[in-house]
Amino acid sequence: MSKVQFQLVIAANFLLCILLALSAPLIFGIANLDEIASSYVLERYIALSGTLLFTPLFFPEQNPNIREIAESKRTGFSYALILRVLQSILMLLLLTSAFLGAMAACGCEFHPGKMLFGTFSSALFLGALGFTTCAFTGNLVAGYLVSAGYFMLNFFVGDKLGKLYLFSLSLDSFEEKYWLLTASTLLFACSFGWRYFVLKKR
Amino acid sequence: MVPALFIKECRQILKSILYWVFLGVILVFYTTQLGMNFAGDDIQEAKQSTVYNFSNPLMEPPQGLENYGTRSAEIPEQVMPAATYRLWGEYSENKYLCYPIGFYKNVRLNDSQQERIAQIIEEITGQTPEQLGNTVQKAFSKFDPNLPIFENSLNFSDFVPIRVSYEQFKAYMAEIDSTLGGGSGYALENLASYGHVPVTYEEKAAEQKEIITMEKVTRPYARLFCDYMGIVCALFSVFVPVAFLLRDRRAGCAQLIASRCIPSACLILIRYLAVLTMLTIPFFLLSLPALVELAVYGASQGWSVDYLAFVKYIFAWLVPTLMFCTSVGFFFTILTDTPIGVALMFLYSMFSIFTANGLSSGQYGLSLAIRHNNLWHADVIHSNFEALCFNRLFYVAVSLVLIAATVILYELKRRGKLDVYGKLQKIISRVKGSVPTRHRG
Repeated sequence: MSKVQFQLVIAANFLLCILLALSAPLIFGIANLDEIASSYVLERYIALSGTLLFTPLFFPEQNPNIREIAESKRTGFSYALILRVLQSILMLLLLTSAFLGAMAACGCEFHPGKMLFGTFSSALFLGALGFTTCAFTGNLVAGYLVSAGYFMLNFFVGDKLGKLYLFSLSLDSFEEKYWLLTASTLLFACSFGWRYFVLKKR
Repeated sequence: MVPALFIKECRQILKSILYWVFLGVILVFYTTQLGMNFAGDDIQEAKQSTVYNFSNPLMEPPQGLENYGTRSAEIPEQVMPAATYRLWGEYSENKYLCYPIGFYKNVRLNDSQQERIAQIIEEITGQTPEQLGNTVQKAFSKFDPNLPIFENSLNFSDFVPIRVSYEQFKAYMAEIDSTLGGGSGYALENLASYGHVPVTYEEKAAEQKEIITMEKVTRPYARLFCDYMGIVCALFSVFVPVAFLLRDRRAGCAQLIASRCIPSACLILIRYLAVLTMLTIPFFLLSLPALVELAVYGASQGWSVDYLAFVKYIFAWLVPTLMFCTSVGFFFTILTDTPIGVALMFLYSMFSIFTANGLSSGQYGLSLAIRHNNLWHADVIHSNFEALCFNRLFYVAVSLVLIAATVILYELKRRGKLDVYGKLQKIISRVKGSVPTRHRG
C-alpha cells in the first residue's frame, strides 16, 4: 500500500522538490557559505519543499466520486492519509539531508544537525499550514495560498510573528524551531481530528 | 445574456472559499504592513503633537530646528572613504555581502581575487590593507564608551585616506562589483547610499507644501497604499482565477459548459472581467477609510483634496498587475487543467519583487509590482513617468495577448483538438500501471 500511495500522491511532488533544490545553486550560489548565509538559502528557499510535499496530499480525493470510494473501503482513509504524511516527512528529511550534504561538499560551514532540524521544522510548518487548510476547506488551491501567504509574511513582518518566525536561524536563534515543530504537530492532529469528525457525520 | 452571465460569475466567485481566504490574506498584509490607521496616525500626530516628525507630510516644518532629516547624495568626499572602509572590512574577513537577485548572498573570493582587492585598496588609500587596519584601530581607540554616541561620531574621511580621483574610484568599484557577481554595495547605482546631506528647512518646507498643494494631500497616501497592495496583487491574486477555473472540472461540469452555445471569446472574456472585478473591489474598499480621514482633515485645514486619488492610482498601478496575474492564471489553467499557473506566477512575482531596483528609486524596468515606499519624493514619480507608463502598458499588452491565446486554446479544447490534461493522465497512469493492484476477494 505504501508503494501505491507514494506513486499516487508523493512521487510527482517530490520531483518538484528535487527541481527546487537543484535550482538553488543557480540562484543563490552554495559555495563557501558560513552558517548564517547557509541558513538564508535553507530557510528562505528549501523550506518551500514543505508546501510542495504536504499541501497536495488530499489531491486524489478532491474528486467526490473518488473520495466516496476511498472512504467506503475497509482500510480507513485516515490510515492512507497518515501513511502519506509519514512518507512526505521521510522525503523531506531525505531531501534536506542531501542538500545539506551538497552544501558541505561545496565548502559551507555549519552545524549539520542544527541546520537539518531548523530547515525541517520550517518546511514542516509550511506544509502543515497547507495540509490543514486543505483538510478544513476541501480546496487544494486555498492550501497553497495560506502556505505561500505565511511564507511571504515572514519576509515583510517577521519580527511580529514571534515564536513562529520561519527564518530564525538567520538571526542565530533556535528556540522558534521547537515552537514550529509543536505547532506543526498540533495542526496535523487538528486536520486528522476534523477529517474523522466529518467522516463520522457523513 | 452577457450582463446576467457576468453577475452570475461574480456571485460564483463571491461564494468561493478561496476568495474569502484571499480577502483574509489581503487584510493580514494590510494590517501588518500599513496598519488599520495609516493615514489617521499622521493626522492625529499633526493635530496634537508639538514635536515635529519630519517623516509626516501633514506637519508643517517649524523653523530653527537642528534636524529636518537627511537624504542620500553621491558626494565623493563622503562616498569614497565610507565605501573603502566597508571594502577593507569585507576583504579582512573574505565575506562580501551581495544581493545579486534580491536575496542575500555571501560571496567568498579565491586567493588571486583577494590579491586584486588588496591591490585596489592600496591604490585607493596608499596603504596596504594591514596598514589601513592599524589606522582604523587607532581611530577607534579614541572611541569613549562613556560618551553619548553623537559625541563619539567618527567621520570615515578622518582616517581613510583617498589618493585617487572619483572617476578612478568608480572604475575600481565597478571592477569589484563585477568580480563579486553584481548586487554588491560597490555597484555604481548603490554608491549614493554612502553619502548623506541634511535636508534644509527651505527644502523641507517646499516639499511639504508640494504635498499639500500639488499632490493634493491624498496622492502620496494613495501611492504608499498601492506600493504595499501591489505586492499582494502580484503574489496572491493568481490563486483566485486558477481555483475559479478548476472548480468546473472538480464539479464535473466542464464538458457541460463547453457544449453550451456561447462563443468561446464571450465566455472567457466575461469570466476574465468577472475575476478582475472581484479582485479589484476589495482594494477600493480598503482605501476608503484612509480617503475619508484625509478628505475630512484636508477640508478642515482648507486644503484642496483629490478625492479620486486612490481610484486613479488603483486603476493605473494595481489593475495592470491584476490583469497580468489573472491572464497567466487563465492561460495555464485552460491549457493544462492543473494549478501549475499558481507556481509559475508565484515564483515570477517573488523574483520580480525581490530584484526590484530599490524601494523608491524610480527604476521601474519591467517590475511587476511598482515600488514607491514612502510618502515623499513625488519628483521621482514625475521624472520617471514615461518609464512607469511603459511598464504598466507592457503588462496590459501582455495580458491581452495571453487572454487572446486563452480564447484560442479554449476553442481548440471545445472542438476536441487539445487535451493536455488527458495526455498528462495517460503518462501518469502508465507509471501507476507498473504497480500491480492487489484485489481482495
